[in-house]
Amino acid sequence: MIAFLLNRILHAALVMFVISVLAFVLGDVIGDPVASILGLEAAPADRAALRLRLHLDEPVLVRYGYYVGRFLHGDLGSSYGFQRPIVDLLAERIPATMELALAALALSLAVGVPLGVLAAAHRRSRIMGALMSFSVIGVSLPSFLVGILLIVVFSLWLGWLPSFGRGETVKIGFWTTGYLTASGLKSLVMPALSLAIGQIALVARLSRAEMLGVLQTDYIKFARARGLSDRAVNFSHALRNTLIPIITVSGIQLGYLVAFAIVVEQVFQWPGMGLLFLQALAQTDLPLISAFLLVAGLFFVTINLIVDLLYAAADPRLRIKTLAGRG
Amino acid sequence: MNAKLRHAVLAAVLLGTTPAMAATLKYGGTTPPLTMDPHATNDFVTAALVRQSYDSLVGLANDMALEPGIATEWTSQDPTTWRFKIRQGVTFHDGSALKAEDVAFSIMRQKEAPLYKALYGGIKEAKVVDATTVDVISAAPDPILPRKMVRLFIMSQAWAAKNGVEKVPDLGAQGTEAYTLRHANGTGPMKLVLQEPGQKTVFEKNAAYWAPFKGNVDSATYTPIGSAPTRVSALLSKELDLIADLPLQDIERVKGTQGYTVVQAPQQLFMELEMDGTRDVALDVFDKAGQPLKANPLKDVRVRQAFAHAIDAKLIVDRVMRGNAKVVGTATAAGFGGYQADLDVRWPTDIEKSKQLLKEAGYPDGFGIQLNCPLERYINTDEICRAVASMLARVGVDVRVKGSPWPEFARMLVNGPNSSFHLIGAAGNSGDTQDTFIAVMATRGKEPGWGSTNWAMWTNPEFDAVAKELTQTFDPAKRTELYRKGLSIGRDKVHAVYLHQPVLSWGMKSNVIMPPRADSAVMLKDVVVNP
Amino acid sequence: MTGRRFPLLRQLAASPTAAVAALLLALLVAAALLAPWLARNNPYDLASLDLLDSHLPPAFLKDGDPRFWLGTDSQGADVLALILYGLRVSLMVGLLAVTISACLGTIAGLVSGYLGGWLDTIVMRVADIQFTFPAMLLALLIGGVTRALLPNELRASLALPIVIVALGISHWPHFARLVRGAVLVEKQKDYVAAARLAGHGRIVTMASQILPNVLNPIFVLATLDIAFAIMSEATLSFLGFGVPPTQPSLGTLIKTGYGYLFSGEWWVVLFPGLTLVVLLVCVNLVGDRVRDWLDPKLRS
Repeated sequence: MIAFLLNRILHAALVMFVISVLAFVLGDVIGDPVASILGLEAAPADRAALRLRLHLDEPVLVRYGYYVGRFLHGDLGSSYGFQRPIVDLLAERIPATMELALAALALSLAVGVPLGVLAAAHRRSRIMGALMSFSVIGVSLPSFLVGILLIVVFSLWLGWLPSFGRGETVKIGFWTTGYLTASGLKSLVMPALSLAIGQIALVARLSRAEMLGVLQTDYIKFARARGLSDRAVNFSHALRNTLIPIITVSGIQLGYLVAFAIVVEQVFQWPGMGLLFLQALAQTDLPLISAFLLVAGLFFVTINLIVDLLYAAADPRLRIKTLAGRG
Repeated sequence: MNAKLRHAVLAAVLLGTTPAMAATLKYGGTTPPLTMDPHATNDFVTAALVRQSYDSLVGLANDMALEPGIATEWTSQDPTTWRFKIRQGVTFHDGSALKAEDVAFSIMRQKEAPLYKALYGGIKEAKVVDATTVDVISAAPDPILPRKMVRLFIMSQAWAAKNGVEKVPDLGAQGTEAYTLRHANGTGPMKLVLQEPGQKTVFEKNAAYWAPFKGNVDSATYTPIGSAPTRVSALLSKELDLIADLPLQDIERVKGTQGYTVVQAPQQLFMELEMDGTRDVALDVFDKAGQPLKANPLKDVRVRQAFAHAIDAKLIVDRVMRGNAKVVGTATAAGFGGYQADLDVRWPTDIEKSKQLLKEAGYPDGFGIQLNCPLERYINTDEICRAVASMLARVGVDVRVKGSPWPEFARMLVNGPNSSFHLIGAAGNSGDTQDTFIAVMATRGKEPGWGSTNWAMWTNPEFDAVAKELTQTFDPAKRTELYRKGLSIGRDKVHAVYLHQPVLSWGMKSNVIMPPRADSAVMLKDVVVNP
Repeated sequence: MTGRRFPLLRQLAASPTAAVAALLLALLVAAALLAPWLARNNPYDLASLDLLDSHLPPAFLKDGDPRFWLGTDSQGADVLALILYGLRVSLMVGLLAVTISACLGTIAGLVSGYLGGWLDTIVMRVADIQFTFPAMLLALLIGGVTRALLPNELRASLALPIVIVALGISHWPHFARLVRGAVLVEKQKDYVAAARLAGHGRIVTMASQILPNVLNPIFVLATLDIAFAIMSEATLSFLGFGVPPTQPSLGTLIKTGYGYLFSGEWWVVLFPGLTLVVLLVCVNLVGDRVRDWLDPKLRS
């Protein structure tokens, strides 16, 4: 187990190293941020002075030194576009994205799992069959189109839900949450739904497949033989065995949700990481792009590590297989 | 009747309503303020928000006329000295009294900011003469200095010293956040309550303000919403009371929706197509076979005239701008100092004449050229460029439109300028045509500060002489003569193909009354929200 | 009879939904291919547009112009023509991107699985690192950053290739893993050993013996990936980091049209949006069927 742990952690460290080199190269290679900071009318002398202060004219290795040094001090530099320390920007934006992704995850599980279980339990029912065929539409709907549609219906026509932003937030330490206010929750509904709709279909399909597998096992047949009701068998015995793979997949899906949140954040102007990243890309805000790469890398590496470990804990055979596979 | 009550009644009479209840305004615009430091950036969205909390030395009325601000009057002492009388009894938001020293400090602080070099670079000194008088001494005569002072914001010197921001902080270069990014201490009508960068800005009424309030807004929240459709839907779903930069295509819709109105004002800017006036071989010009052309057709005034006659600015205004713009015929626009209404007649659209001129210039079949087009910052630029391309195609000129986001576009101009044909918005920094003459039309680099935004390097010695004389002339009648001369040369020699002056549009609920301003500011003190 | 010779057709016929989807898909592809002949004008040719035709509603509405069935946009371009050309771009980007990932992934997988050793380690490590990031984010990063790095004059002309390559690169590890796994299985089989004994080199054996035997799973994955590629392209374009407005894909059309949604000119966004959804649903449905046909093991 310790060997396995070490292996995975080493692997994660390697990935992080590669990402950090990429992030540095990215933050280093180009750019005339000077024009974006000083504007059109600045004198050449001012531009040269700024280049000097930003170390833009020094050799690559020296600049890499600055980069690593700063990073180790928890300093990701300043954003050209926002004129603020990047760490502060990220601290403000991360809670927004995480709350959105978690809400979407909860929604996709809450709707997708029961749907999948029901579809498996009543696999001969026409209604369930039709429902599952509709899931292909769910998978095929781009989240930005869903978002636009929701805004038109619920904000413009009905006027029920706000069309942008996070609403009122409450500050707990550095974390700002929208979960605790009515307007925060209302603002969350449409973005979370747009993000979740594709996931609901995926979770439902997965739950159905897993459930069908479990229902074939002797364990369930035995439970039925004991005379337990269908309901008890389906929702208690079978579901329990279906949940592990679903949870694992959810972990991976959380990563995807965070990535796709970029699109939803753009549609709903949700003040999260994604919107920040798009602004950074549009302004060629290199320090911010490179910091985003680093932080996103760290996030995904961590998620993958946790999922790997969970998976291994759930299934010891896999642990051995994974180890053997990696030689 | 005490003074306050008198003001209230006066305001009520002026507006023709009974004094309304104190109200809250939720409004939105495209971009967040970059900082709350009034001197650090010349971004106009930031300036519009900063103006709530900071008064300018010379006031800027809603019709863009000069009015007393922190200075109650100003006089020219000698060609290089302007004397400003400082208003008494004004206090900063922290309760301290405004002194003449604060004014001198603010002038010198803002003058040192890199982005204000063009506007205030000529100022040598701000001298406190006595407790109520400040002299501003410039290196050369400056007849329009008071006009420029509408952009000069007054900050407390003691407050700046206490918080380590006596100098304009560097943008983005330091690892820490400048104090003035989120904090303000001016004398303006609204106090800054909260500035969450990129998210919202909250103001409350400054009850101790030195002038009466025409409106009834006692607290306001500004929210930036970059995506135009989201901004419109925020208005139509009643989440916001007022939005700036209403997209052209949504104007009719908002107007037509029960409970909403649209208010418009001409923008202090006009759009033009600039053409290379200096290079012997222009950039990105091609013959009809697509091979690079070793010449600069645009240096020939007949080609410039051909372009001017081929491009139908009226059709662009009607269709692309949906009528929300005014065709311009000279290098200025209504509302600018020095504007001459009778000269403002555009070249007629005449395809045959255009073809004839091209033929005379030696391009009977036309040629190919790249049009550089900024994709942001101005209204519907992408569509304007494409319309221009399809219009020039009719006289045989093949235009390849190359759009770039603003930072790219700006870089191309600043590091060069590397463009022989582009669309851009031209404006005087202060709203006086003299600024346009010097910055946009005078020969680049001929005198210090000349042609700093003359990106197509147009040059005309006769025009330069007029511009030079204008900067040294104080007599109004003489100045008018010079404005007319300069504008006529620009039009006859086709300094650029002038297109239109865009109109700014705000959408709002019908119960909101807002005086429109060409500098795009929503002056909260003048906004009325009826119940 | 046909059923035996064309098992895919039989598969499709077995499910009416899939049959309809396949038919629709065929129609869409044909429409895209024939766009230059079907469309009223070429929306890329600015000289053919007339501003006087701008902002017209669809022909079936009041004020509609019979020349423009689905109305016109702000430049006077025919929305139907825009959709046809946009469909072309979307399909082309999807197909090319998948081709790139399939080729890259197959080569990497073959080399890694068959040759093994340090090559295998390197290829799989790179794949692992890439797997760390969701493919869409990766494509956005690659596309967005490359655009930022490029000099201005190249950006517009290279926008389309950048999107294609970014999407292609973002998905190759899936193919690499699949092929590597299949190769490891095939490698043990007798025919490979026989080929080696017959004196064929390793490259020849790989190309002539192993590759044909792993083509099926590659094809399945490629079919399923096309939907991903089309959707990702639309998403990137919607975010403004994909296909530029000068040569719009469906995603670009939706992005531009979104700005007109509240102005009453809904047709510039609704029709491209519907086309995209129909396209994706059809590709997904047909993809599922192709998978069932080629890979019976995956049938649920």
